[in-house]
Amino acid sequence: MALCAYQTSNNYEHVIYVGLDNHVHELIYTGQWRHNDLTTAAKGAPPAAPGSALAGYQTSNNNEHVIFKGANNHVYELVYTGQWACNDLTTAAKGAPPAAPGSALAGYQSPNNNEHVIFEGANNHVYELVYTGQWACNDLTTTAKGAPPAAPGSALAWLPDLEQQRARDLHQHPRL
Amino acid sequence: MIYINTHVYELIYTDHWAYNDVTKAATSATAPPADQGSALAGYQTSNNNEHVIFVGEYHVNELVYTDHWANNDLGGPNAGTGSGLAGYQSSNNNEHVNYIGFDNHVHELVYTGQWRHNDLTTAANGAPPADPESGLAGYQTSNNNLHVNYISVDHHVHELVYTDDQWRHNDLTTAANGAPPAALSSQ
Repeated sequence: MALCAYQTSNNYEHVIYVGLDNHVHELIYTGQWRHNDLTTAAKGAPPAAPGSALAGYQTSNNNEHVIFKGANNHVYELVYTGQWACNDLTTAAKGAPPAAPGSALAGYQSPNNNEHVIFEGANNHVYELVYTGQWACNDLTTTAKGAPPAAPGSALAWLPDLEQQRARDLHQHPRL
Repeated sequence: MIYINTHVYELIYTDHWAYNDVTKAATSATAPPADQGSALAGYQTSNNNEHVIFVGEYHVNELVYTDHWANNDLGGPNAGTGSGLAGYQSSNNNEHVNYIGFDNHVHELVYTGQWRHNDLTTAANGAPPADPESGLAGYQTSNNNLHVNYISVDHHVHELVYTDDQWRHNDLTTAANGAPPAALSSQ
């Protein structure tokens, strides 16, 4: 989805979108609405692919993360740690495949503080880029044996769950 | 993690990755297949239920996990083709689902013991219609205001905000002087 919004722990409101210039832009409310061009602010950041999806979230260390896809189908992260910087997550996670051109994106931090970025590959598998001190890539469709591929351009959504409760339920009522 | 291949599927990590066909697992009512291009939204409520929102046969549907999966057709006017979806629970425990209808209005389905429908574009006087290809975001801020963001046909980013018991509209592109226009999903 080419629009995302969230509130940070300092109560600022953030609305993120891709402009007609293929830059990633932020509208931020700090008592009044202001605009930041994140692509310009993060030196070296490439423009977003036209029609790129977006995902945004804040981590427990108060950093902000905006995920987008470049024209080379790499998945990128714009991260705010006092200033904006850009990371090429596809390159950082050795062996990660490029995203499908119409891939959706999702991003979140798990309770163990790992960061997760989800995308769809050209083979319609669902992949995870995960940060545990360094970025790595997992093919979730292959790992979850028997999982069917996603539809091309499938939406992706993170569903927060109580893993222990779900684990118990799965053991009591296996559905696989 | 939720994705679609006609059915709605869940990839879940407990001590290993596994998958569930959630559409098939829903037992209380037959869940329709997801429409091609359906968006998805997922959220957890304070009672630990999990909710997955999708569009099937143009209806906004909910797959809800209590101790098993069930499907609910949430009602309201049909969702427009390619409508975005947003879903969240507010601090009063109400649940909110936002989508764009064929009339290009932003609609809300709200659960307060039963599901009801609000046309937010009509409720917020002066709000322009959404572009059919607009993204959509919905959330509550710490001051308990409710916010829905969308893009209009003139590429402006808009906010519908619920405060003081009424919906209001702000043109954020105009409010943030110099903000450039937004692209739509296919641009």
